[in-house]
Amino acid sequence: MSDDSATTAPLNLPSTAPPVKRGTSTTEFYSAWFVKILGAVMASGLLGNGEASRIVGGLMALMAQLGYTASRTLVKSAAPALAMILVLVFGASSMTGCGASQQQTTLTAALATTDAARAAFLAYDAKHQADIVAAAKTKDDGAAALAVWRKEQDMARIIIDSAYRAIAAYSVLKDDPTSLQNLNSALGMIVSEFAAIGIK
Amino acid sequence: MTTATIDSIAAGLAALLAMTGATTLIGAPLTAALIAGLKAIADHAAGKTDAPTMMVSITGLDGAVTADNTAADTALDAKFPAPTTKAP
Repeated sequence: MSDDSATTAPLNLPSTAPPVKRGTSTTEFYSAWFVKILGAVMASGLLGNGEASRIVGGLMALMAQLGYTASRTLVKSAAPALAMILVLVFGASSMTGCGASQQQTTLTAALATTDAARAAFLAYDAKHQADIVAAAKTKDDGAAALAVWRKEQDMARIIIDSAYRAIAAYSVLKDDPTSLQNLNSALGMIVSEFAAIGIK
Repeated sequence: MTTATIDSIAAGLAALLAMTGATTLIGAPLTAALIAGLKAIADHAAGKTDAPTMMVSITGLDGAVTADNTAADTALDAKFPAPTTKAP
């Protein structure tokens, strides 16, 4: 793992997030549409016949849509995953390859699974620690029980991080069969660890 | 620099570009993530890290699981407060 986690932490929405507004009532909706329309006009060649201008226009429209889709997904689901950007970017970039659709499906499913596992673990972890404290007869007993649990917690964190890393590896090493094996293995480890902990 | 490295750098830049668009639209602080992403790409280009490490750094997935232990510690302290000593 890199040591950049402090500066690149996922964009978790706060638990006290305000109610989700309709997309059409947000500034982002209109700004994204403005960029998409401008990009489409540029891509059509109306603003010049230069090849570069048309490519840039197309990219502008694409990036505006990707950004808007990502932002709405984050807001709607309160999911942590800018990870979905991996799917969007690499799904788009792999469309020229044979079996790209299958790779896209694999990436999407792996991310959904890992994100769900992460959310389930964090929910279970908070409740389990509260239960340990509630059941503690003395402070020392409680601290000891928490310490035991936090070793399991560390293991789960490592396994989930490994799964995200395997997803990243698969996204950039799609043609390497080892990366798919590693991805399957990482997801299997999540299932095993959760069964051992007792998370269903 | 190998073709695979160039390909993965291009993929990293594409991911960073998408991240930039998304973080700008949701109003999140951009600078730190952007700098960290560029650093991750530079590290990979210099051969210090592999492609997956670069990608998890760009997307922030390396910090995806951050359990909150403070709530339980605080609750335990509140349940068993330290005895106070009376001043003589």
